[in-house]
Amino acid sequence: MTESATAQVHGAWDLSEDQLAIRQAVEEGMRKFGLDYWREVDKAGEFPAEFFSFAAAQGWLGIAMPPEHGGAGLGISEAVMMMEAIARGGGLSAASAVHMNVFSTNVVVKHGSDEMRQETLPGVIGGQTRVAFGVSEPDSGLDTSSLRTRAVREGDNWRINGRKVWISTAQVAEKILLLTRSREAEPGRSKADGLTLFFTDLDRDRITVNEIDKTGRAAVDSNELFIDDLVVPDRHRVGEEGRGFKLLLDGLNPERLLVASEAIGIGRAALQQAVDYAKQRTVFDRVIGQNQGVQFPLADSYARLESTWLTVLRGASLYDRGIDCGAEANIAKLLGGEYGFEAADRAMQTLGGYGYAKDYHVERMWREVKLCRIAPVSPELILSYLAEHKLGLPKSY
Amino acid sequence: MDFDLSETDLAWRETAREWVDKNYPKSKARELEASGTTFPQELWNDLSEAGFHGVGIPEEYGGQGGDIFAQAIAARELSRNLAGLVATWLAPAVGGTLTLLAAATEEQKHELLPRMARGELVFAIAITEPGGGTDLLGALRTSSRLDGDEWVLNGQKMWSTGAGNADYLVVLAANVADDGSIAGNNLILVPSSSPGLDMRHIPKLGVRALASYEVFLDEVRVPAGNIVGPRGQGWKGIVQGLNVDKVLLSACSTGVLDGVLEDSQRYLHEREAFGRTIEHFQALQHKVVEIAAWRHTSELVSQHAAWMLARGRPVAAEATMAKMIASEYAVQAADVGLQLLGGMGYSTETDMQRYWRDARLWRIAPITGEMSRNFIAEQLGMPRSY
Repeated sequence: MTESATAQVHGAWDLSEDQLAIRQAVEEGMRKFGLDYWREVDKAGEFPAEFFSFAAAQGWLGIAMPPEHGGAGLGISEAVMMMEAIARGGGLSAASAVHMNVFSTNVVVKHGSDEMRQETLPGVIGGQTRVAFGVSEPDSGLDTSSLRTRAVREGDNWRINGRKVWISTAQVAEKILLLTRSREAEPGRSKADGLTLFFTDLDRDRITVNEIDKTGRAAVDSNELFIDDLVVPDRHRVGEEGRGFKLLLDGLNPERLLVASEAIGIGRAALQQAVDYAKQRTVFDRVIGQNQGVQFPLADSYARLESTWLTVLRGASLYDRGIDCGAEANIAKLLGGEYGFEAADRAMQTLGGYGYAKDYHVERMWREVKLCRIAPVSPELILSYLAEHKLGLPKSY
Repeated sequence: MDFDLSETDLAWRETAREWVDKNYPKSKARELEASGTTFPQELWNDLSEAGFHGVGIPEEYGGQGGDIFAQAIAARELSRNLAGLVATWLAPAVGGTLTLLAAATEEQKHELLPRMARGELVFAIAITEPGGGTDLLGALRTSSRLDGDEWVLNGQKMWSTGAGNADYLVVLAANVADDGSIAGNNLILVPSSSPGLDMRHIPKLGVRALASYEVFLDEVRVPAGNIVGPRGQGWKGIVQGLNVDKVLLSACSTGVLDGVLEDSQRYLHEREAFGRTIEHFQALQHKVVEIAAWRHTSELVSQHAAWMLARGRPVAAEATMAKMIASEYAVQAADVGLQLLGGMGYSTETDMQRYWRDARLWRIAPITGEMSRNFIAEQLGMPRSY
């Protein structure tokens, strides 16, 4: 059967020209920042500012933003290609440095006022404005709607007090998306009711930012925030008062797809290190890659990463067409996290002592990809979500 | 890029699924397995009547048309209820039809394919030998020499599934040149009623209603015209079917995953313990969801490989990965499913143990998971290790 006839009979399963072009461009761009660059920023715990500026100059930050504000107007199908290639080149340090600008402000695009969009998006896309995403709290991670940061209306302003935790890039960000409780949920109504979202300046006079020392991704800071009488004008509110959580729900699935693509990118990078090493390291008069005991785990990881990647692409395509992708996004994040980590772990085993040594990069990938298994949602809760919402089983938590 | 099935694909899936549910519910597959039969003749006849044997055979040869993608849809739907008994359809479809399409002369195709499409001719593959599975060519001992206008075959074959009821065995045999040396190999259609041909039933763990045989060939004579493809190049007729076989088995594995998932969900929904149905227990829910995630992945890798193959793309790596991933998930899922059903999963009154036993074969045949990994490792540029 001819190519075109098959396409008519069975639909389209090829990457689009846009997707291929983006992957190629990002791979090329990432080559300017070699693995040594990422090792150094990780060691120093410094935000990769040079890379961030480069990404902005390349137009990467605005890939999924509307053209009228300077974005490329593409979809999640293209964004996953970009994030996979960024993570493959620079690990989670690279991906997380841009992730918030690329993704988190989507809610502003969709629900912000015209004035807010015009005022903020060009800076977000151009890289002059870095964005932090202020949702999690010490007592409210996945159970987001139980959060306690309060916003009290005072005339044209809101007064905000509370604590946030695990807020990435807050050391360097100029803006923050802040989810607050503006009123108690009415009895019988969902706890998600009464949460209000703001997109405002990260005012360091009113917000104390304490960095959390952590296992990996040292270049992109994670923080605890203490918010003390932060006064925010009402025009910084995103969407309706009390509906902030519902607005964020729109973004959960694409975020899972992006995180899955990042986990797969890191897994692939680790696998490449392992394959290269296995091909040149000689023991007992032959390269270790000739041993099936060495080959099989790597071949297995390759197959698992490739197959999970199909789920990412499928989910992104559904999302871009406005079709529910809850199953695909969650499965992709679940398996992407597991298999990405497994690939890094097997790569470490392949390199032996060198895998454990900082010079050889694999240990950094291993530390970083672990985070894709935890955030933004744990594998355990994904399983519970899928059980309840996709298989119709009773809520178990 | 959207990974959507077309309207045609969806309609065919619906048709196949309805047919299977109406004619071959799981209970019937269980009965077949318990019946002691060595060939499910009724299943064969019903598949013939419904036109399954013609899927993948072009209309000019009396078939229904359809490509590997359409065949994969059939494979999955049949496997969902029949599990390993899908081979009743699959083995002749791959070993017979594909081989003929790849290597036979026009005359052979016009003579044999229409009868195969109608289900009037049954083929069985006799390629593997006692000393050679994956390393088939290295171990090939069965020989074929030309004596006047007849081929004379001698040797032994293993794992010829359905041979007991086949009209023809598709036999691969070393080609003995006129000077007595070995020059390549031949693919020869051997009528199963030939004098000198003997068989022994090999009892096995699963797919019991479709028996597999050891075949003995002792000075078996067949007409010279029964060779498929050029003399000495028999392997070429088979090799094209290897990727097809892998892709179809990935689809079969996905079908088993469908069956395992639905049976697990139903059981959790019905079974009560500690005052409520066991679907309320988180530990059990998570197991079912993992099965669903494996099913999802298998479906995509299988369809993706089938799609590439249908377009004539190189697909060796994708087909190998699809077969490896899907077959391993299927066995893993059936094992989890058996655990979920507990004692009932172990009982032959439910289907879980049947999925578990049948799918286990696909981790072994037609290529083991280990050989798959060897192959993928070479794709990654690592040295050949075997």
